Amino acid sequence: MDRFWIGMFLLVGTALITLILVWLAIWQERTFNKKGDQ
Amino acid sequence: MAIETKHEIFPKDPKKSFGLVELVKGTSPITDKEPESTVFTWPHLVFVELIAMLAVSVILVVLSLYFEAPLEEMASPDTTPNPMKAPWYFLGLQEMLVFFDPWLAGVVLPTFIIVGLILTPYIDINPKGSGQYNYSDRKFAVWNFAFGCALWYIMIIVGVYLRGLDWQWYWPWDNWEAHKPPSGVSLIDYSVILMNPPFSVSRVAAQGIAYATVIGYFVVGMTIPFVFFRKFYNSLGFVRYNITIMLFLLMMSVPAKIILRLVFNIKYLLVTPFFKI
Repeated sequence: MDRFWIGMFLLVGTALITLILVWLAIWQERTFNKKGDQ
Repeated sequence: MAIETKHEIFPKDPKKSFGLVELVKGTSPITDKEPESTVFTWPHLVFVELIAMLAVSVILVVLSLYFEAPLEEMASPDTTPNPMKAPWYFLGLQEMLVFFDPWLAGVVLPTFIIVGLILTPYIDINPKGSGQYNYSDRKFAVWNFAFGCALWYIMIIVGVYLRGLDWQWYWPWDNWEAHKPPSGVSLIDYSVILMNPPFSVSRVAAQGIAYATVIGYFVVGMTIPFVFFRKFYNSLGFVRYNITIMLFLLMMSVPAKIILRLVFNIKYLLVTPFFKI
């Protein structure tokens, strides 16, 4: 059972870090882009 | 009407040795931009970067004066630490050795990571969002890179915080002083599972199915985006598409392999005399 939870830890952890990084990219786009830069 | 207007704005003058050749509708990178909104890299950016570099250097020098480097005593074959951990930035690679053939984890996968990163500017030809923070026009690139980074860092986190004595997995609430018994789980090769009931196929057939599974993963993985996301294929072209999807599939095979081993107790999917996957 422990092995199952290790697998889940890796999956959920990877997903969590991915979401944080993508959120960071979205936040940067909204925050730092000046109007007219697009 | 339009032509008449042009003639009014730019009347032909026989006395001039030059003239406006033609007015063309179109877009250019600097359309709708005020000339004042752009500045030169030198000195405006490079100067700030130079200052930042000097500041970081000073901070590092001051920090290094106040904090001792965590060096231990001279290495001795009589006292080998358990577990022996690499520097934190290599612990991701060390952690991968748990799940992969050493040749794959230590040589092939790192090579693909480096080659993939070098190739990125050549295969990502999406011109949108260059020179600015951009997510909405480069969703695949951002998700792809974020996932790759996450994979790299979760391995490092596991290696640094969750591996204890004998490289066993220790949760934070476990007793880190006591040796853990081996898991008692026997890992089985995919082909051995196929050779035993309920499948009971011959050795040759099992090896064939193992090859077909690995090759099939890549064939199906290369075909699905081609069929369902034809726009994506067209935007990249044949060569770039194949390199991109190949690298993507290799990246996705890492967590897939780890889950196969942890949850399904499959040691290797394919065993050849040269490598084991």
